[in-house]
Amino acid sequence: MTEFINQYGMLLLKETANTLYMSLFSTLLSYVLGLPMGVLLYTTKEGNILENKRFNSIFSWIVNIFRSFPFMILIVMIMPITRIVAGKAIGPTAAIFPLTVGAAPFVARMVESSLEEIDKGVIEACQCMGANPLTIIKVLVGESKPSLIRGFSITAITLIGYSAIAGTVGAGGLGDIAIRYGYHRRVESVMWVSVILIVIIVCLVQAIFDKISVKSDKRNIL
Amino acid sequence: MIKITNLSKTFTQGKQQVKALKNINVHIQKGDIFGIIGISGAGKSTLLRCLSALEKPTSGDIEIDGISLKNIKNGNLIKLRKEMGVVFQGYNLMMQKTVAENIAFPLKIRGISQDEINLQVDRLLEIVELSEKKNAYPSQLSGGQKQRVAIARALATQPKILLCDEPTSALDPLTTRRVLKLLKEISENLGVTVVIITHEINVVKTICNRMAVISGGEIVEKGEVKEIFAHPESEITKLLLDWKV
Repeated sequence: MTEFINQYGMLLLKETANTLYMSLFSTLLSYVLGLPMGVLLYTTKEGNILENKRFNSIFSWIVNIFRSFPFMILIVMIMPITRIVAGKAIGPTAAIFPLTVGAAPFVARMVESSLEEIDKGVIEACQCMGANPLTIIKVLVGESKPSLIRGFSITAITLIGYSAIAGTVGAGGLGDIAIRYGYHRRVESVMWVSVILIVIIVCLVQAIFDKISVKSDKRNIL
Repeated sequence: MIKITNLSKTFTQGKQQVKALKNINVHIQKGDIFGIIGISGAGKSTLLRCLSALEKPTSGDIEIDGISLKNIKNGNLIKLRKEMGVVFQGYNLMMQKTVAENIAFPLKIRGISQDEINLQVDRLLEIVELSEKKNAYPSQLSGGQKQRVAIARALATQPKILLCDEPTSALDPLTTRRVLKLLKEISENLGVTVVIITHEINVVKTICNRMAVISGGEIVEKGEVKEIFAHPESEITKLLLDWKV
């Protein structure tokens, strides 16, 4: 035990930090991109405030195409762009770019479905009061906040998983050492500890965001 | 106050054309509590959606306070919306905002100062007798209370007209009476013209002075409530009044 900690403790700690760093920043950045994308997907749909059928169907296709790329292939394909954006193609910082690109269309769909939950009557009421589209979008986002927060946790957890995949092509993180030590060097203990660490991170993220979502939902106040 | 002239609305569903409203002519005067009654599918809601400018008429025109809704410019529409409060059957309150924030919304989007908004919200809450619920959320209120908040919100911009779409249809008889009483007080004390769309004859009987009966997208009868209740002419009115036909 002591021997294990002496030998691999620092490594595991460092790579846990890398996993957290990659997933946190890619989740945040994927929302910077995905939130407006989701709002556009929803508002330009038929019967909605910025209805534009042609734009909606083209944009929807683009989102679908990006969503259907297997993540592993996406990483390799956009490597040249990653090199330009991040200055290098290897390491945790470089991995944030493909993670963000991979997750943004996913976030867009999550946001769209959260907005879809809002009663259309509320939008009509806003229109009757003379609200402009921007104000209505603010209302929509405010009203779907609890659902958006749940979507955020799902995205964060998905990206923890993706970051492990990215790890296998040089991003670092727990996924990287699980493969390198567990598979290539047959040090199974390291693999198991890495997996357990990932499980713990996922459970914590889920629990924390569930709490925040329930707390933020004013429909739950009695 | 409101002049509906030759209003028609046709919806196209695939190859089928559905005539929701046919040649509607109604004149609503200032100070009226005007009831538009009809059974489900008669075209009531379409008429209200045209009145609140959520739907564009296929032909004909609506004039509100001398302003035609036909080809109205966006800026004028926003001005007009200030003169028109709308109350819905489903309340349509923002569930993540407090009662006060809901009522403040139409004032806030017009850039009115927070001090003035606070003053107005307190005044409106007094009118609808919900001052103690100021900081509650809609989920903490009963149906009748939610509708009173919605009425307060509709009154926030001090409109000349209050459009009500089935305002009591989701409420029990006792709460209905309370909401109707409130609408009557608003009409009398604030001089607001009230238009109520409903399928409940009791609503018309309790507070309206004039009415129109809509059936199959057409106005089949209109006039003073007293007159129509005493001498209904159309079959549908007799049916609504529960006359043996």
